[in-house]
Amino acid sequence: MTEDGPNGQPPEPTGDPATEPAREPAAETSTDPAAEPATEPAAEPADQDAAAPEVWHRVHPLTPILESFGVLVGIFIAAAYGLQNFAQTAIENLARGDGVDLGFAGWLRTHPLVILGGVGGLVLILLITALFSWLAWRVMGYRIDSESIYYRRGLLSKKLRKARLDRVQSIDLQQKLLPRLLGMAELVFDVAGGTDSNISLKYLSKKRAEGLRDELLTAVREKRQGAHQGERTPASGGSAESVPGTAPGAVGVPAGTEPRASGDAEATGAPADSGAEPAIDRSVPERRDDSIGVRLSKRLGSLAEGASQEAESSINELLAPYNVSADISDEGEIVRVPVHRVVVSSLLKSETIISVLVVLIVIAAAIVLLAMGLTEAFIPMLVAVIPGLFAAFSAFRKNLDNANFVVKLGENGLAVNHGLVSTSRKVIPLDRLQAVCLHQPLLWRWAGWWKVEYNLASAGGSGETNILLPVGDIDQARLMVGLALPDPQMPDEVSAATLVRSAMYDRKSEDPQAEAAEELFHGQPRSSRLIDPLVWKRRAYVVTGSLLVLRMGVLDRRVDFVPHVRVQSMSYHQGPLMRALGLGTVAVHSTAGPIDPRVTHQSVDDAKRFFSEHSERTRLARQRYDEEARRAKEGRP
Amino acid sequence: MSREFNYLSGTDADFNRVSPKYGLKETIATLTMLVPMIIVALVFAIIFTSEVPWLHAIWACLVAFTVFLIVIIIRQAKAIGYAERADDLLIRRGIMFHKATVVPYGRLQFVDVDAGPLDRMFGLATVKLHTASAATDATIPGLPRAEADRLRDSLAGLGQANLAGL
Repeated sequence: MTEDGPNGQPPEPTGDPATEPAREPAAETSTDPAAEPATEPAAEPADQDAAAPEVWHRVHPLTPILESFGVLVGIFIAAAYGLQNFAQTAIENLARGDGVDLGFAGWLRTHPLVILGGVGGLVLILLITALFSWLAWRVMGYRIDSESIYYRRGLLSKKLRKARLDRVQSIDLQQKLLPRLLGMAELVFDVAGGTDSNISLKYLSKKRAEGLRDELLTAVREKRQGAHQGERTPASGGSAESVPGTAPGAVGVPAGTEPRASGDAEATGAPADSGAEPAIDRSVPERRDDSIGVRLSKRLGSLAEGASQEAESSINELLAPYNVSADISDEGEIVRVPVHRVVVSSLLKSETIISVLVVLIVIAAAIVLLAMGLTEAFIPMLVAVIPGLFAAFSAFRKNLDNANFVVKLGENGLAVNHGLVSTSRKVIPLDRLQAVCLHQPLLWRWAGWWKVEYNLASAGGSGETNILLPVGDIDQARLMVGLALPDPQMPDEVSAATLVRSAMYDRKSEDPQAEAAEELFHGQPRSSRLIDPLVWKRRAYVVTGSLLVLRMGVLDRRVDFVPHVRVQSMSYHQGPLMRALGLGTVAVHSTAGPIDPRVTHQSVDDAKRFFSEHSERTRLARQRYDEEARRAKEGRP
Repeated sequence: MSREFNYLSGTDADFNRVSPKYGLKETIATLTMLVPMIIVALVFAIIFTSEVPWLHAIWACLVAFTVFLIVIIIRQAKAIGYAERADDLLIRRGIMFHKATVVPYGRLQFVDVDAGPLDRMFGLATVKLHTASAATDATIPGLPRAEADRLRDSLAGLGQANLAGL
């Protein structure tokens, strides 16, 4: 795969005709209209613009095959299923002492034309598939101009998707297993919009994808910078300065470990650090209600590259309320989840255990039946187990996706790498986290592991991907939670660390101050035990200066954290049963994601008071937050 | 009656009611579904009245159900209220299931005004408030068209305040 990097690097002449059309430099249209070779696909008339003909770049020629791979696998599985049926009958026949029924094979031998026809048909199908793949490949393409990125595809029903560069929230490089084997990657553009508004550009060779991502990140950043400067002219000088030409990457990352197009970065005057997403707006200095990670990122922005000592002391100073300390490794990693821990933890999940138990029970039952002499049932039952095994395995594999979970703290948020067989890389923009939760499935208790998830202000919030930490010990979990949350602004007598511990382990917390912390929790009234027979004692909420903390779940323990400034709207709810018991529930609305915070089943008066007080509290918090930003902007010349 | 509407104590808001025509409109919407069913049941009952006399029970039940539903719908329509407060909009609804939603103006992403064919016949419209959260279920149905437009414009103006923390 010798394809040129984008943006200005001269195409290296290689003799690979297949990649030829894809090797045009991915420069912006306006800069380079004349260099368009005649091999450009006969562009649709609608695309012809009189002033500047639009340049459509092609994706990798293997794309249609990779995309239809699922269908091939399906056909293969169907064939295998048919064969398995045949084998099963054969085995049953043998077991019964009959010969295998070879009637069909014998019939085939006497009719060679049928075999010929079958093979011919197969070849024909392959040829047609190849033709259609080629046609489909011809219409697939993307185009980038100074405003937007376009992606088109579809032979019969044409699709054209467009994303404005200044709306692109993040650009992720994704490598699934098969593309990875072939050295290919897909670029996923997360656009602020409804669900399914992402553009997934696939597939490109990995090198090209990386180059394109760096280039586009630069473009996106410039776009946003421009927008910001237009928005508030007085701050423009400051904000331009605050994007340093030195471009400090992730904390302490030695320069050059990341394949970044440093030439490009210097040429455009903006840092093109890989994984950099829409930057945290550093024109606003640290605010009290910013999450600690954001404040840290803002500090890091002013640090020289590689100053991991200083970064570490910064982290530890800011995280002091949570009483955790981070050690940053030489590569700038703050958390690394080893493979074996992911494996063990996913085996210990309730779902896995249940499916394994079911499979074992079925096998045991089959053996018992066999012992009782019911041979007919044995093989079908074993066969019936297979889908269960597949399901368990696929669930397990999904968890393995989080193996090698590595978190680095960078100036734009947390950079996360994960994946065992296929690697993904993404940046969690800490300044857009809306809520965080700690979760401990029942069987993780003996290991003391926790999982950390989050809600993000963006589309595409499915529970599987919103993971801040797939599994970690209590210190790692508290570190990640601390980074994602603002300073809790606790009353003096109780520390945040104690509070978090009490929220995690309720009355079993071994913290010396646990008694005092327990005082802060508002538990559910006794009358709620009819509705919540198990959890009514554990469920409770605390309101601190900047956070709402919810303690839930008696078997699968769970703690939700919602910063006041992130609350969207709220609702109060009471059904007939709750009215009879004098209870009310308040839901605090957060963005889509795994966290749906609710203050459940409080007494009516408490619930109503919480409803009105909390809406007031969040309003004040928001006001203060905006106020600080405004003052900071005015304060800067 | 007023006892049921004041479940949200501790708020100093005067609630606006939705248009009285809204109850009527909802009633008609329900009847368009149920009346044909009743007629079919009645016809069958009359045709087979000698063979299966208990068929009459079906349409009787349907009629009773319709009456029950209409009573509920009208009461529910009366229970909907909204209040524009200084910094947020408060919506409450429900008699059996009390629900109150508060939407801060600073959180509004956009405001929809919908009017279906039946709505238009009565000159009504539905205002729906959207925040960044999908959980926000803030709809005010059955507003007079002019009031809906006024509300949308005023909310859109107020929503332009800074979207903090997003």
